[in-house]
Amino acid sequence: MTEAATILTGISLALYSLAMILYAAMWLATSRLLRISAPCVLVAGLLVNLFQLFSRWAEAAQPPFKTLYESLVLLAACIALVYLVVELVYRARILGLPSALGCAAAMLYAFLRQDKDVVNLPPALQSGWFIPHVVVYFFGYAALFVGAAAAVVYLLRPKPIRIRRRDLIGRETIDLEALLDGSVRFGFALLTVGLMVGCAWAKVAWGDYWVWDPKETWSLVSWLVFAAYLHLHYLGGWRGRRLAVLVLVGFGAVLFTYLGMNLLPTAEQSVHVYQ
Amino acid sequence: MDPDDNSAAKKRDSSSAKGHTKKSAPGLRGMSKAFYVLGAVYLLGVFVQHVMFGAGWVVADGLLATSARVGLIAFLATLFAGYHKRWRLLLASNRFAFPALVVVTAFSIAGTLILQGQPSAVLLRAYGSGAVTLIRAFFLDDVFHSFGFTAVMGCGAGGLALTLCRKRRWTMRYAGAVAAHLGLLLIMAGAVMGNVWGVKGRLNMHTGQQSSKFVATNGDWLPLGFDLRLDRFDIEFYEPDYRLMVFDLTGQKQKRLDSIDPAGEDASLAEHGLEITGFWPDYVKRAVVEPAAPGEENSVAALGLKPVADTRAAIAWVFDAGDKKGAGLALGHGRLMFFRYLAQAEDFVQKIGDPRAGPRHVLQVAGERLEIEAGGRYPLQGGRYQVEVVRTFTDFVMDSQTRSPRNRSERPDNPAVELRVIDSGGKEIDRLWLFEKFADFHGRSDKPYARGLGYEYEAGPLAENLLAVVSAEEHRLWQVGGRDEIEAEKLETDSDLRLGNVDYRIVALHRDARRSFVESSRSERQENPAVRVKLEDSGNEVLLRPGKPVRIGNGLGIVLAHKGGERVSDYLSTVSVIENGEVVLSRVIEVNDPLEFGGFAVYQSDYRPEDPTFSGFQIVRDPGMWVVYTGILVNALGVLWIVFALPAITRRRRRVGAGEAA
Repeated sequence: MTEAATILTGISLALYSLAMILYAAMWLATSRLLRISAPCVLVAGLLVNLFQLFSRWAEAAQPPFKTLYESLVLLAACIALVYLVVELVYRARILGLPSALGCAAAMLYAFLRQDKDVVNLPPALQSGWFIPHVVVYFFGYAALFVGAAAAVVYLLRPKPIRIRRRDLIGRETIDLEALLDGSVRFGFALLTVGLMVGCAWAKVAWGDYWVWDPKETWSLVSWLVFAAYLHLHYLGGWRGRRLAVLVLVGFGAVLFTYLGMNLLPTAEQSVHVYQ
Repeated sequence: MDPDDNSAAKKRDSSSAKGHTKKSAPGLRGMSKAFYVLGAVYLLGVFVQHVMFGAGWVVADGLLATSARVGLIAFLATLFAGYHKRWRLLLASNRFAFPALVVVTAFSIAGTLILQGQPSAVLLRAYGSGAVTLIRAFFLDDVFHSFGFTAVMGCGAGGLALTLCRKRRWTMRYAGAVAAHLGLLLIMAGAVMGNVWGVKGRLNMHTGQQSSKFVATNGDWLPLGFDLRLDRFDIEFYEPDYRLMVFDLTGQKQKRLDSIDPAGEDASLAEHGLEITGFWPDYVKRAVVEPAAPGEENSVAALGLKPVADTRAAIAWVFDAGDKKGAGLALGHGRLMFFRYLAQAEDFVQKIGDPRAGPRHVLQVAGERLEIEAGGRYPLQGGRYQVEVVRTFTDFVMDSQTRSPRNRSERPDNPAVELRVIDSGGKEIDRLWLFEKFADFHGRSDKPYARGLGYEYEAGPLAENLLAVVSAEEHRLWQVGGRDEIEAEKLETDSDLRLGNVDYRIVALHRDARRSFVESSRSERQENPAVRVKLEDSGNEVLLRPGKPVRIGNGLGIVLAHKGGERVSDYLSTVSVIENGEVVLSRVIEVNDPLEFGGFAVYQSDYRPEDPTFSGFQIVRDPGMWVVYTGILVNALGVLWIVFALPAITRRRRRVGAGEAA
């Protein structure tokens, strides 16, 4: 299974990388071929990615969300799916480059990982809560990634974007702030549901909703930052650049929650840390 | 976090161009006052904690409930302050909510950056004395249970409650925000209820044991209101599947380079300078024994046995025990010892005939060790008390039929002693049960006579009851049925020998034999795998056993490890709930599937790999559980409303408004 995993990871990595190149080319040139091929290649990458995910699921007879490798594969698929929905809804490909870059980066990291073996689930993870908790969280992460990508593009081009290349924005102008806000709100809702599902699950498994485990605490920190975003944006009147910076801070907290736990001195006290 | 502020913000927004951000948001002006308030609340919490700790009003185990009470008091104080309009305007506004979010976030981060709940020595090693003084002064080594933190949380919750109580037009527009915030309040309220009025504790049991009480986190024994009996405990394992793992040991953290199937061929082995020369899924080292000439160098005495009932079984070889402790062959509950010389065997038999060499029950009294026996009386606390040994057990179990203690076997699985405590006037003042494996089981740590009291069981020179001793010199066997029952008889090759309740055939009995070993596998299942690896650089070979890593040079290390990491697939405790002597419920408790009965939830929480009869439970009574669940649901619905329903409503209104305008 390890060899198959390596091959499939390599193929989706290649496809995501190609999609990234095609989306990047759209910033430089207008071409119908690019407009059609970039999302098609991204979809192809996603299909391989999903095949990899579900075939592993079927073969191991357990959800493949245990190791960092498996979670990276899931994250790449979630980012691609969320981005494709954004592209369909907003009819804009301006976030295609960073999204494909995110997918490729996740896949590259997965490709380089040595934990491709299927590992057994400990008793605590053999629960009906496991799949909704992880899937909801990772779609939330993906939505916040797309929001952070919009924030980066916004910060690089602070004024409402007017680009001649309709390939990228689909129409005359695009309200990046609305796109960013939509992604963040969607991501925040999923973070909330994921957090609440996690609490309920912890109660069923261990008898405690919350034990201030470092990962739990950092997921609360991420949630608090995006809660602050909602309050500052809707009630405090925050707009523009500082809102975009706040989204990047929030996504930094999310990224740290996902990958940074090993850097904490309290990591050994956590039951959530990837080995 | 007032939804009404939204309209103010909208008004402000309409006066400023969209996307222009240079103006600071008026709704957040004046936040410094809120920071001062929160800072003062935090410092007050720290002060109160110092005072209470100094006065000894808080014990470590009661910290959780006390800090929850502090949060509750801060919450009520904030509500009280909100009675005054001036304070209410601050506390029920975003000027207070945002600083509260910042402060809670900051303390949450601090709680992950500073080691939590560690002893002083660990903190000193990590941070040095100056920093530790500061950390301890602000209780940052247990941030989440510190009074300062819970006071800030309580204060923030109070502000939230005041916000929800403000007068407003109740419309669908605010429903989501109100629900989200109300949900948070409910979650916090439920958590406080659970910590203040709930109970949490542990119950450790062996199969067959029954208990009507459990140990709470503060050490008190509390009644369950019913009896819980552990009928059986099973551990299910995943199918074993081992890999040869290669690690890079040069960095600060070990990095896994490869995971190789030892049964297959893998090109990456050669890349690491390794070659697998042998793999045995269920490794066993079989002895090959041949007769040798008398006095031959390196010869050993050897006895070969086969069970009569299974002639196809491999020969079980027993070699000269000499003076080696624990040597011989384990047979059921006994052991067969084998000696080359008659004198050695006779010495051994004489030794086990000495009562002092047998098992001993030892009482530890203030560091002193007293060998005790049933009926004996022993002084405690300088003679102020005495204990009389009522009974001793090697394998204590509570009989489910008679509901009284009994000795299940002579194996020292659960040694225990029952003591009567007698005061200086000769009056019995207490009865104690001491268990070797559960030092605190007696639950009398606060009593003067129980201070420094401990109990140990010493199995003597042999771990198990001896069955037989054989001398190769005269082919003589001693059957040892008890210390006083020693029978000697002559042995012959091909004769039968009854050991315990099993008949064996003596297939070989050599005073002098040559012994060599052959590596083989008992089965194809990877129960006890071993890999022999040749290191190409040095030409040396190493035998790898699971979990025992070997450094192979070039900064590399190899280890034979379970591929799946986790070996245990499930812990299953079959329990019975007994009320008035009758079983009212029998079921299996698993992780993720607790037993709920009589207001308590019983969670599977512990096991001991070395003791398959042991199962540990966490016992929880949480009166706030449904409040928390309701809060979780209300909060999630509120957030989903804000995110999905509210934009749709807003868009529809805009469309309607635009239509009307047109």
